Amino acid sequence: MSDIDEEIRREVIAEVYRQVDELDWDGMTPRERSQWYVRWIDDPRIGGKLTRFIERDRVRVWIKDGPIKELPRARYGIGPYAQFAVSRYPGVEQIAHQAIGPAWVADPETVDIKPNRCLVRGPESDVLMIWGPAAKLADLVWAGINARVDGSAEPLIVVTSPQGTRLSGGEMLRQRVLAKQASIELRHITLRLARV
Amino acid sequence: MSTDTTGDLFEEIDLTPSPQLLEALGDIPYKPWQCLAELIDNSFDDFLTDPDRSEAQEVWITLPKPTDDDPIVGLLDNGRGMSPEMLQSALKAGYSGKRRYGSLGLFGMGFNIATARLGHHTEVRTTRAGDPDWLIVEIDLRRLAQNDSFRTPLRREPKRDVSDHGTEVIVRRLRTEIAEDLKKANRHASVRADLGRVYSYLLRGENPIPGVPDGPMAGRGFRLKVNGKTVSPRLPCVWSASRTVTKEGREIAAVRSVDIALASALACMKCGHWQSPDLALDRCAECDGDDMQLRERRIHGWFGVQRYLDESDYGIDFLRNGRKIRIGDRSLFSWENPNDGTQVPEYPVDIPATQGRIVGEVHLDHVPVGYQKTDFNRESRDWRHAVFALRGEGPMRPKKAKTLGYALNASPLGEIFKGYQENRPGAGCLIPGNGSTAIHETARDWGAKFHSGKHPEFLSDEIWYQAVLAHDDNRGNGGATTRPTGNGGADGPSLTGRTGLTPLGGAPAGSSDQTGTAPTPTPISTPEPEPVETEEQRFERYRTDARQIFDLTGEVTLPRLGRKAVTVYETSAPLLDDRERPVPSLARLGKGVNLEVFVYGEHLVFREYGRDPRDYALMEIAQTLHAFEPDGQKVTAVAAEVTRQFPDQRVTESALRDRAGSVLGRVRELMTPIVVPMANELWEAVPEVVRLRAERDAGRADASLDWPTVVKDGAFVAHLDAAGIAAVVRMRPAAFLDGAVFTTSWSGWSDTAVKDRQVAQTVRPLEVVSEFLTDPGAKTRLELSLARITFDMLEQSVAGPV
Repeated sequence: MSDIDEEIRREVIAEVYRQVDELDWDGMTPRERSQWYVRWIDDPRIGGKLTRFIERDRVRVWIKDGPIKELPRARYGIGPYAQFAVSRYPGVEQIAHQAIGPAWVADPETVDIKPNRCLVRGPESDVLMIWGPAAKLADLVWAGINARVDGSAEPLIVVTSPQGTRLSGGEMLRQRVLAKQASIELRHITLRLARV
Repeated sequence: MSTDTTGDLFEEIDLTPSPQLLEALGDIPYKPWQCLAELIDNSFDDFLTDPDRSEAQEVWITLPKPTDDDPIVGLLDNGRGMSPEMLQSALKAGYSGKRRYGSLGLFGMGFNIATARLGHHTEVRTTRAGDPDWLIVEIDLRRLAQNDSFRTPLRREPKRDVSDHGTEVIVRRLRTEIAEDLKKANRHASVRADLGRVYSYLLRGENPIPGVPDGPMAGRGFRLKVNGKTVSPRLPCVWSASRTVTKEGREIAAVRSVDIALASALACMKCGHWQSPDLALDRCAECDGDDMQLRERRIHGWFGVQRYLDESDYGIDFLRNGRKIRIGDRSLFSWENPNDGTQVPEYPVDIPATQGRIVGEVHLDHVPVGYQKTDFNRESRDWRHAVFALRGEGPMRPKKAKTLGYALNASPLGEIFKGYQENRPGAGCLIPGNGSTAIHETARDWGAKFHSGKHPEFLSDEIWYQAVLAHDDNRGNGGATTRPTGNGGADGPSLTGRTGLTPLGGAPAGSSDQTGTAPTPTPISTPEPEPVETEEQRFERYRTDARQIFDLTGEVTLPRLGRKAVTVYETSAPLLDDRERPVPSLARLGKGVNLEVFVYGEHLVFREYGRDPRDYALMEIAQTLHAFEPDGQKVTAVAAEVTRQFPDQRVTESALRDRAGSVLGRVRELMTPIVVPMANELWEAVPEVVRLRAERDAGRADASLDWPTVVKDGAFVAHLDAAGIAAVVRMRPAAFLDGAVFTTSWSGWSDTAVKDRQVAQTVRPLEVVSEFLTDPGAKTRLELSLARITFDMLEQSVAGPV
């Protein structure tokens, strides 16, 4: 990555994120995404700029393992690509407000990833908010158990669903029961992806 | 109701229907996708009237997953949301105050039918940007029925984000059969496909089809997702607007825009009824509403030509407010005789008569539709007017129109019909072919790839067009190549010479005369050998000098032996295998499932032994697949299976009859203008038996024909069979040979014996064809082969493109 001119690298990432936003990337099938990787290689604004610095057959991997892999995190405002995201989910502060209440304040200094987690300071005590989509529930619960073992703040799992995906009552109940087995509280919230 | 004996005291009775009525609405047999469409319509109505489109306008649908034990159906949009008053009005069953003008929703009833069909409990949540709360209404049909009341409370729930806006409908306690159905494997995919078809226009973007200008094809770019997966609009697989055919000296493009302005009319903003401003009514004649506004009306859209023929996948789609109400409608393809109300089918009648390719999308926002939104009201004046405007008042067939006293049909559909009603292979009609026949099945196979969305190379019409050109290129050579030999031919340097790989001591064993290439003496003393040609370069060279055999291009799938995406090239460069031995054909496995096959069209086995290069290509494919054969099956058995994967290659009786129809149609077309000035004398001169057969054919085709007029006008040509054509040509060779209808030369010869032979050579194939067509018995393989060769000869002798 270091062999790409910094200015060009930024332009390319910004362009990929702009197109991803226009293309409705989330609704695409893996095959459709695959076709776009191929098209980007020949896009003068993307592959055209990258091939000045890296081999043509590395362009696809560069896009896939770089900007695209970071896209979910960037949309939460996390990671080195955050500044390029065209659409964002609510920030950590807002997630905490939505999940726990307006009196709670997230500490941005404590944000960590895989899975996303952060210390949220309440009026009387702190919690370790661990959040992510329902598909990553196992990781969220595992992180909660580890937090317990490590003796950090009381873990709280927040299952986030992007706007438009509604979990049925049965699904939500099952997720709460699963977390309860590890004595961890679990809440559900919906997050809206909005243009910045 | 009761009155007392004096008759002047009236009491009122409550006509509010029982909530059980709402539950009964759920018995109307809407399919799941129709229920969803009723809800989607409301969201898209809002999008259509929203002037602020800063964000993508999106609807998300949630359907039950197989593992759900508490399944729901949900719909959420990011529309503007509703105020309490709007919500009240939207939900009021039947007596809806919802505006029907300019909306898809049309009836408040649609919401109730859809939700009641799906389940027993519906929650509606809505909020506008800036509102502090979500407004929530729960409709529990069973509880309402128990209480025998229509009243249900409005709840408010504080919003976390005041900028949030939209409406959500969640149906819970689904009907068992609906839940079971929606949990089935592939059901979500079929729902997405149905919605993608119905909302094609609203879902597609600005320039969805390469080569077709965005004007008529442009959509609205709304987004719709089912369980997170985007619903892709089903795009029309039409030829690019830049493709044309020439008819009567005029170029007719394959896509034609329709934009017909109608007189403005008064629209009732309450019920959607239109009425003429001339009536000077100040209230709606339909619902007595008093909000009437003068609005512009127009019929717009396009007619076009699909890149393939199909038995069911063609016809005109009619839309109201962006939603397709009728898909693949063919009523415009029949002409209704106003005198007796009979329907005269006009399309498709050309061979193959059961398949068509004329398509279109026409917006009829002003024509009323039925409440189930499955059809327009065909009895309405607006529908009938639209039919006239789109397809003209008279028949589209020019002769028929003329006979019945109608002017030439210049309607938008009539124009497309004129250009594309016929299905002859080649550029004359824009139909892909293989040099002798049309390749309808291959073209349709490519259409399936276009629609699958998984093959971007089939989005543009290029491959179909190349197969159109290849047909003309190839015609008259029995399917063998006619392309002039390129630089890889006899004049080119031999490969051994260029590679410098020839062993000392003479020419390699393979460079004999067999390929037709003269061995070039190798300059042994050349100090610097030319660079060695890589395998990739060698195949690139074969491709450069090749034309694709389109009717053998496609997927071959054999159950045990796997799948191959085959591309076949006929090259004019001599082929060498990897040990540099000349071969008539070669196969090369590419990336993934790709298989390239090359056939050297100039090889002696094709040039002098009459073998078809296609047979060798099939053998190559079979041999490649045979390598994966674990059970020791014979390669010929595999070859037979491979051959059967290319139905366009069949030489069946019905395929040959189709071909006969096509070529005889062309001959009659060329004869007509020649016959017209001498119609009477020619008719008198032809044998009685020919006249009788023509008359019988005419009687079968159209019982209302005035036969004496047809004879006088020369229109009898259309009813001559092959033997009849032969008889006419025999009588007047000077009129029909020398390039007029047949290319055979005649007048230049002075010896009458030669002249007679020329005539005999032309009419003999016609007589063989006639025998073939009139003999009802099953044909032997040899008879079919004879017919095929006869067709090749006949087509070769017909002037101009066949």
